[in-house]
Amino acid sequence: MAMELLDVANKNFSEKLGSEEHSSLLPEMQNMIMNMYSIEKYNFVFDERLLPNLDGYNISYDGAKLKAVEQSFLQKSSGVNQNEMGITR
Amino acid sequence: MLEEIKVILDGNQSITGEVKDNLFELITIFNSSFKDVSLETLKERLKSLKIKRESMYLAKLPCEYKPFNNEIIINVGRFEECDAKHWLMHALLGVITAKDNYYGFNNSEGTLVALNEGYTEILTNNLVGDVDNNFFTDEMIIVNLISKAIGEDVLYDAYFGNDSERVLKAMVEAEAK
Repeated sequence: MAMELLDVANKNFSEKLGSEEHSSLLPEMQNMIMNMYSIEKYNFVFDERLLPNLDGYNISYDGAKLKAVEQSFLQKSSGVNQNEMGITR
Repeated sequence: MLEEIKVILDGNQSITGEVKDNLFELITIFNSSFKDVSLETLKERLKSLKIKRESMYLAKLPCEYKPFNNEIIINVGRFEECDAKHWLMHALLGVITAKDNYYGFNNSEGTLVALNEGYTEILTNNLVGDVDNNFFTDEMIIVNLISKAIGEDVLYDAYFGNDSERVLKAMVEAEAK
């Protein structure tokens, strides 16, 4: 299953490079991972390094932490340090 | 160490002064956050690193590091439209972790190429902030999900140790539990 997942991930990445019209395989990969590792859908700790663009992927998160993440990702790459924004893990 | 890197960078006649300054700034940012990561590969590759313009047909991304040729390939049109600092940091992480024709925890067969790009982008965001409509969104999400199963330390050690086998083994072992 691990190799199958990697194949799908690599295929998704390759197709994305080749075409802007590419249809993301993320939902398929997400389901594969949840099945492989028996991860409960609503038991994720939200990593502040991720984009908060997870609507529809059934991932729960802490509300306050997400707000901090949204703030950090509104910043452009201007050298703003996330720690300076009071974001803690 | 940084002084040594500055001297090496200044000695590379293939890179303009402005780009050298940009690279050194990013190297300084990296080193301040990842003090325990060796810069020996970086030092070696900076000596002959080239920045090369490429056509939109060959360079799909605004900026990309090619370990085999030790070149940072720039798609000029796309590069001018994007956050250059962000993309250059992504490429620099490739230089820092380069080995043969790959970098990070990828391998020569490209088995982990997508996950490797996702992890590289996570590090990039951590170092210089995120960008809108991040190209590597899918890959970052998948890496983060997998990290919950195999541990973030595994990915970190494998990335800076060029150890694809460690990631593959951890993914299989976690699946068996």
